[in-house]
Amino acid sequence: MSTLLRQHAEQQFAEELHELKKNETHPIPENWEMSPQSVVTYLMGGTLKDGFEVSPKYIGNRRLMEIAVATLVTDRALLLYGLPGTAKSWVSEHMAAAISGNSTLIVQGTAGTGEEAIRYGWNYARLLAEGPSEGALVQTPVMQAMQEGKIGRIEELTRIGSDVQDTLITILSEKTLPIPELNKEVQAVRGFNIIATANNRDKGVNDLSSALKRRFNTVILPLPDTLEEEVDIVRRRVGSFEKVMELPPEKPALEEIRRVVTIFRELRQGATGDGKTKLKTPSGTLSTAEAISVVNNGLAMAGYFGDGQIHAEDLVSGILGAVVKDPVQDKVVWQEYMETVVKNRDGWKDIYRASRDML
Amino acid sequence: MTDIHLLGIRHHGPGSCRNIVQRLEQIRPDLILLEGPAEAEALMAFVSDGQMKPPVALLGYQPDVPQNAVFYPFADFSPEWQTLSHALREGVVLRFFDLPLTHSLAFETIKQEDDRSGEASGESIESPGDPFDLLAEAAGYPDGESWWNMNIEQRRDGSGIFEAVKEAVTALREALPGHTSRRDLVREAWMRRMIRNAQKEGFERIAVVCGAWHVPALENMPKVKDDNELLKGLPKVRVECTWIPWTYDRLTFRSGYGAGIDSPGWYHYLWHHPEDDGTLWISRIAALLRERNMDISVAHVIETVRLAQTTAALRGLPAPTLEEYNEAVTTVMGFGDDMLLQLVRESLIVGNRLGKVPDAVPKVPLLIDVERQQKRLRVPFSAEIKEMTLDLRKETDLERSLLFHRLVLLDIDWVKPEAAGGKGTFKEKWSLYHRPEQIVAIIERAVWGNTVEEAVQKYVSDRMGTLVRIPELTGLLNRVIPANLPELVEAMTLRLDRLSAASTDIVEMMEAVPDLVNIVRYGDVRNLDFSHVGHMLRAMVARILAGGLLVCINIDEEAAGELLEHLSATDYAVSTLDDEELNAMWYEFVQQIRNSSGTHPLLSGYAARILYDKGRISREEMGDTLSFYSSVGNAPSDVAYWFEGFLRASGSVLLLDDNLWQLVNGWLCGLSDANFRELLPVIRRTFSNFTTPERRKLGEKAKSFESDGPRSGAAVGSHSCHEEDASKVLPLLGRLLGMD
Repeated sequence: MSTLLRQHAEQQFAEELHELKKNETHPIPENWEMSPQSVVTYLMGGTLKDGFEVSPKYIGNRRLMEIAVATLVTDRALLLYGLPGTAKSWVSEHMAAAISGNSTLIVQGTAGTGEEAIRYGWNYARLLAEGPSEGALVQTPVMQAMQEGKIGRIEELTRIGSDVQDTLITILSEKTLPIPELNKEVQAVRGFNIIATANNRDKGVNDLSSALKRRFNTVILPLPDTLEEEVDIVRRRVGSFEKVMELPPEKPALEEIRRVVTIFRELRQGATGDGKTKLKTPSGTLSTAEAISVVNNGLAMAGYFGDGQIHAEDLVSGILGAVVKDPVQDKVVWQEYMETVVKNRDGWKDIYRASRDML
Repeated sequence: MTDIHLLGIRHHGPGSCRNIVQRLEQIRPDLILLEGPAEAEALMAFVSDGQMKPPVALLGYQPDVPQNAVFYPFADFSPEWQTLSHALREGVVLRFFDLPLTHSLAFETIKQEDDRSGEASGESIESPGDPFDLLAEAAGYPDGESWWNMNIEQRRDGSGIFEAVKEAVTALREALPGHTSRRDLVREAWMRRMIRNAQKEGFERIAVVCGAWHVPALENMPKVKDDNELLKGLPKVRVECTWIPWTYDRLTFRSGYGAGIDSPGWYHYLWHHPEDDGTLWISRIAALLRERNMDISVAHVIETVRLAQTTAALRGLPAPTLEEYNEAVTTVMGFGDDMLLQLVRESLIVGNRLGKVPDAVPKVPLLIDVERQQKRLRVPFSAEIKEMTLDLRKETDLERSLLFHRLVLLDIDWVKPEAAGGKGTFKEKWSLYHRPEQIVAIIERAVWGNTVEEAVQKYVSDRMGTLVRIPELTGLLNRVIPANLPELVEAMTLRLDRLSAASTDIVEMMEAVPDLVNIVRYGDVRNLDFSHVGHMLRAMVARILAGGLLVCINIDEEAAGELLEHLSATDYAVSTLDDEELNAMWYEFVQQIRNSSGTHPLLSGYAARILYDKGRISREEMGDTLSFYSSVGNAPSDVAYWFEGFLRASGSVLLLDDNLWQLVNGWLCGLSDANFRELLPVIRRTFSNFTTPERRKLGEKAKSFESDGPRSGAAVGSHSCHEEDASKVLPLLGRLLGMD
């Protein structure tokens, strides 16, 4: 096992990518590592001609992934939009890994992201010494992606200030990046494109200008449709986490995962699964990603401090942390949920008790 | 030897359509046998009429039982329609060779009777699930519909397709022997008989166009004897046929049409623009969205088409299907949100197209009359839901209103009245929504008369005869009044009079009073004479006065509660009319309720309250009554009911009317300690019916009243006001009330 904390997609799934390339039958767009069909197979999983099993990366609607990949073929940029924790960055990473074999050309958008993080910056020591020269130029991931014909990734596009966002317009429509200081420009090589992500929950973000919006095709990644789908996602991700963290090898019981997911779904939807009881919804998002981290957390607690088996207490502290983001309002929500739903549910007494002890 | 070409189709689909036209031109048959009832042959010629615009439907019905009817809907993209057009264009003999309606409708009647007698017939006309689902499953499609779309409808090259369909269906029928109903077996036997007849007549190239499912049964001819056996002793009924306009909406699955399709508008486009690469389709969507103030540029259209084509390629499709276009629109134009599609769904994907049939098509006289009036008043059938506000002071609008009201009385649900700013105004609001079944309803009503007016009179008179309860009759009368049918109104009032004279049910009469008051009050908006209704109302109140008290005596709580509702509704109605004579009678009746010792306390409390509110009893008298009913001699439950009646739904009144407040407050404060303790639960029970904010405010009021001491001379009621200030609002008020 590698000593890295977390491997990039193209490292972790190198074998799958290799097999997909080996079994390629469809035409490959220029500078892509594999055909669009294979990219979809890589994302959704499937069995290759020679019997090799590709594991699913995205669990959900296949048509969404097809639309997303087709967007990149048409050389429009792709914007993945949705609630926090709906696998936007995850999909973006794997797409870049499958298409370009490199998911690391990434710009993290923040309120402080400046133009120099997207276009190019200067190494000021050399700039002073040599004046404007190519040696003094600091390349950004976007510039690099343009030069090499790869996929560049921008995370949290809407967090970036509007003026900085708009520098992308030339890059996306003219596929070129002028460098007036050197009186030259970088023209994008075929295969270049941008995958951006943004979430629609945050307030105070910078909406895209309509000029920029027009250059993106938007795919909304939804929350999982069914309890089963969500449990499946959590189980797979927790399984891979176990491997990475080298936790004690006790498998998390499916039943525990189901309980966490059920709690999250019910609070998110504001009603119990059977639709009989109305519930208040807490202020946080309670996405699948949070469910995953709760189970991971519980697993780690059980592994290092407990007997290796996940117990209600290990989970409840994590759930509490995820649900109670506002100490006043959310606590009421949680207590109400405990008293009206959990208390009376068969076999859920342990969660109720653990929560009582903790609050 | 004759050549027989069996061409299996699905009822709607541009691909099938193109294939059939191609194949017919190839075969050049001298006879076409088309799946359809023989009775319709007389109507065939209308297909090439210039006024005929699909979608239309062939309607076959039993004239004596018009609700026993069948439709054969056709659109431009129906293979049957194209076959008909081909036959007329090329002068080919065409025969409908399905089982004649005279037999198949008789089957329906028998089936209905079976259903009524509750016997399970053991076979269902509705096929249980789509048999093509099996093929789809084998080929890896989600359902039979998409399998057929992909393999038949979207295919560009039609050669060999009918042979392939035949093979597929043959396999399916072998695998599902129980799927074909007995009725279908009979139909197929008939079809075979028709084919044999045609062969005998010496036709050489026969093209048989029928539903794909029947093809195998027509391919392998069994012995003539077996078919004759099946066709022996078929039941028979009289049948008439006509063309009626149809809508795309009714072609969809969601309207419950068995052979329905999802997106008629899309098929329409596919049929009319087979060469288009999606540009036209997306441009139409863009145009429609721009109409709704959505910013959609040409670049959007380009990108959408490109994305749809790329996605289709990625999925290995020869051309994008509606799904790909929809997804591309969502992604490029809608920023991932499929709200936009909802906007275009009705008008584009389904398409709100309404067909037209030539005037010369034989129709029932009533339908002709309805159409004549529609034309004159410019309110044609339309496939969308339309809202219409009528101003009854305008002549056309008044006539429209009359027509609408009459159609409503005929139970034809094309128009529906909507609430428009309270009754008694000059405005009426209607929503119009046409469904082809309404034509059937009109044909059904045709037995009642040849014009709308005549039909309504007879139809309603007939219904009136079956009504025995007064309120039902007044309710109906209330609906008849705006339809301006004086004779009918007269007949109805006569019947009403008889009914109420014979009736001993006072409750029914009380129910009827509000309706009658309504008629008397608002009838004059329409310049009609309603004096006889006024007489009737008086007679009815007089009858209530005469016999009403008995109803209120010796009854239990439930009956009293019900009666209370009627009392309150009648009181409201009478006080809105404010007719002196009526008032006198009514209050006398209420007085009786109050005074009689046997009435239920709930009613007597309510009666006291009515009289007090209307000033018919003085404050002192009321005070006495209050203390009388709250005195120890009464059973506690009686006291409780009395108060409930007295303060019924009056939380706000207590708050605002200081007179009442002081009365109750004064009485309550005057109680002795022991008495108060005794009554407390009762009072609490009464107050618990008020809403929470009302109770809270009442509490606040009680508190402030106590600290200030009872304010003298009713704070609001007789407060000296500034005449000068008050007069300032009068002009504006006058304008608001339209008094200028």
